Amino acid sequence: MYIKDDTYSEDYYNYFKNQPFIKERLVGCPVGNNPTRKELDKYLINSKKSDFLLNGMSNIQFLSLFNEPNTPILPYIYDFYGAFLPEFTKIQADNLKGNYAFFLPRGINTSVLWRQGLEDLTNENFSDTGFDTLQVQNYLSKNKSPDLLEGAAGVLQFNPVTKDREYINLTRYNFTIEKQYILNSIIFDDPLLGNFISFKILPTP
Amino acid sequence: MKSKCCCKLKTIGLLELTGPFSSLDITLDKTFKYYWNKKKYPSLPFKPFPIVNTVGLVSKNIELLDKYYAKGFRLFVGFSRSQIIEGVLSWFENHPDAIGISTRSNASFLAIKKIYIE
Repeated sequence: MYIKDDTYSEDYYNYFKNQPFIKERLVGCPVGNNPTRKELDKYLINSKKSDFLLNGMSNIQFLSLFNEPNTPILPYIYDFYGAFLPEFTKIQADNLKGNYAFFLPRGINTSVLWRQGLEDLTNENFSDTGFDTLQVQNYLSKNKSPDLLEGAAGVLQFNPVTKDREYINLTRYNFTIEKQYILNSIIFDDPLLGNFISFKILPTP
Repeated sequence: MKSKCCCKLKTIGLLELTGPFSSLDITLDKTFKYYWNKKKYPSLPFKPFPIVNTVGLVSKNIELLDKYYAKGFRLFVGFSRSQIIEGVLSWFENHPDAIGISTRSNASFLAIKKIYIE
């Protein structure tokens, strides 16, 4: 689900459309700048609980689709959009509980310094890119190559042509039926291990 | 955004500290200050740089880029949102000795040539 003619939102959709394991089953759901539930619902007529909805809109736009009481949707929602765990109103939380996962760029390969910052500043005040930004700034200000950077948030290896980062590093949080975010898994791509998912085992009640 | 300088580059942060999308850069500002604290992290090599508020407007970013470029700054940190970085790209194209560091924007349409220092 993405905003038509919004460069960033369309770019997000195109990213998934170009993934070999996704593209054959991906249905694009373009909506207007102020998306309505009617626009979404026309794509959900034959949807099943085993389907997934990938959000490609900002939190404000996406969550506005769940402002009416008792309007959950069947597909499970995957949300990669944004840098913070979204906060819901009571009605939104009722509509999304047990059916929503958010992915944060805060994974397993982070340094002690990075972790300490997160712990001291807490989720509300900590920028997960702040430490790496200072590293890059420090290197560039001294005219050192950023290719030699130590990575605080995952494996820092760059594509030789585009200079984009090669490896992702994410944590998945599920919004549970009890209306709480619970860390579900850590997902990262590694030059040696390949794609790796580590699940958190919860204690049995 | 290619560097031609051989000396140390003066840095300034152009952050969106007010406005509807300011939460990203407010946390960035707090995180910078946290790691700049020499009492807590005496061995970290980071040196504080000035930070100014862009109020989230491309026009203000350009205005500040012009202003601080004239004062000798060549390394600009900020541009967290893709919409902002898209708006300042032409400025950097016209100022090839300046470098921009986007702290978050990762839209693939912005997969432009990145800096490479031999």
